[in-house]
Formats: sequence, structure tokens, C-alpha cells
Amino acid sequence: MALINTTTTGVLGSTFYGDGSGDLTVQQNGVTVNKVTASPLFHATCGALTFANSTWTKLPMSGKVYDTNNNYDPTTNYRFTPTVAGYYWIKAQFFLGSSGGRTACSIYKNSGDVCQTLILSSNTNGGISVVTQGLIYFNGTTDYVEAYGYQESGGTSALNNNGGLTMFSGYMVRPA
Amino acid sequence: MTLYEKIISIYPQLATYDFATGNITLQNDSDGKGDYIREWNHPTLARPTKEQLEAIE
Repeated sequence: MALINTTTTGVLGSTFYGDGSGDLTVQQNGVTVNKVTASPLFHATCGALTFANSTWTKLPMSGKVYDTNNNYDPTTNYRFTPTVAGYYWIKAQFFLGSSGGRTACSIYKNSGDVCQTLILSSNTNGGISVVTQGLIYFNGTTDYVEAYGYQESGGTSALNNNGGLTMFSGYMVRPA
Repeated sequence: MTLYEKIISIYPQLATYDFATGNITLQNDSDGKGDYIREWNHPTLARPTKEQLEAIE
């Protein structure tokens, strides 16, 4: 791990060099003020899906677009498990071709709902788009997130999986 | 017939607000195993048994 530790005031134009391994830690008077580390991010689009009524259904985000740290699983669990601990901004959204009643999009962390948008919708305008997003902490080992959707049109309803309408993404805001 | 439809046929008095953020959570993990009851916290109605659900076609 490389360390930059300024004591009183820095010197303009100074150049610091790390040792080429691990995170780069920035301290002031011995107190860590920031860490520069690999910052994972991902973006995925969704496969085909038909929602049953009133049933929370995992969005099968199988189209991996970006995955800078190989932390996204697009084939089995459709989940993001970052291997760098820290705070991440996570966003999920989907477009439902027919809807009615309540429509919801939720981010599940470790199988529990942590971020949800629930709206009243109608089919009069040809469908509904739901977006949810929030700041989530990951421990860098076991924590993961998945995207779920919900609709209560009264019957089944098909997802519009156009990549510009339905997606799942996230990026690190700062390390732990 | 979906799991939701089977439950409604057993308990037609259930309302939509009992689901979503209500007393009953149905879920599908897109793993090929289908819909299941994740949580059943209804104050008066008992969770349907596997036999009750399988009896409905």
C-alpha cells in the first residue's frame, strides 16, 4: 500500500509516487482523508420477462455492458458483488408495457429490500417507467445487490427490455 | 394459474393492498423455480398449505 502523508502544508507542484501496490492512501497529520483505489462499476441490460400479478420478480439483468472489476454475475443470479468495500450508488429501472394499480422497483441487498420506488400507475399512456436508486454500503466480500420489480395490473404483464428503458447499474462513490 | 391466482381463489377476501408492502410477499427469483410465498404475515388468514395450493388447477 502506498501512503501520502502531508504534515503541515503541502508544496504546490509537488509530485508524490506510490510504491505500485494496493490502495493509495492520503493522510493529513496522520489521519486518513481519502483512499484512491480501484473503483468498480457495472451496467447491465435485461432479458425478457413477464411479471405475474402481485409477485416480486427478480429482473434478469443478463446483458453485461460494463463490469470494470468482474464483479457482476449476468448468468446465474444477476447480482453485483463488489470486491472493494465502500459506498456505491446503485440504480435500477424498468419499463412495463401494460400496468395498473401499483408498480414498484426495488434494490435488494443480501435478499432484503433496501431501496424502493412504488408508484400508482395506469395504462392510459401505454406503460410505465419506474426508477429507484440509492447509496448502499458493501463490505467488499459477501454483500450483493439485485433488482426486483412488481406490478398489480390484475394479470401478467410483459417487461419492455429495451436497453434504454430497462437497466441496472452502479458505481463506487468512495471506499470504506 | 399463477401462485397469486391460486391464493386469491382460496382467500377471495384478500385485497391488493395485502400484497406489495402488505402482509403477504410473493416472489420469483428468476431461477426457474417459479413463484413462492416469501412472507405470510396476515393477521387472520392462515398461510395456505402446499396441499391446498396443489389442489387448485
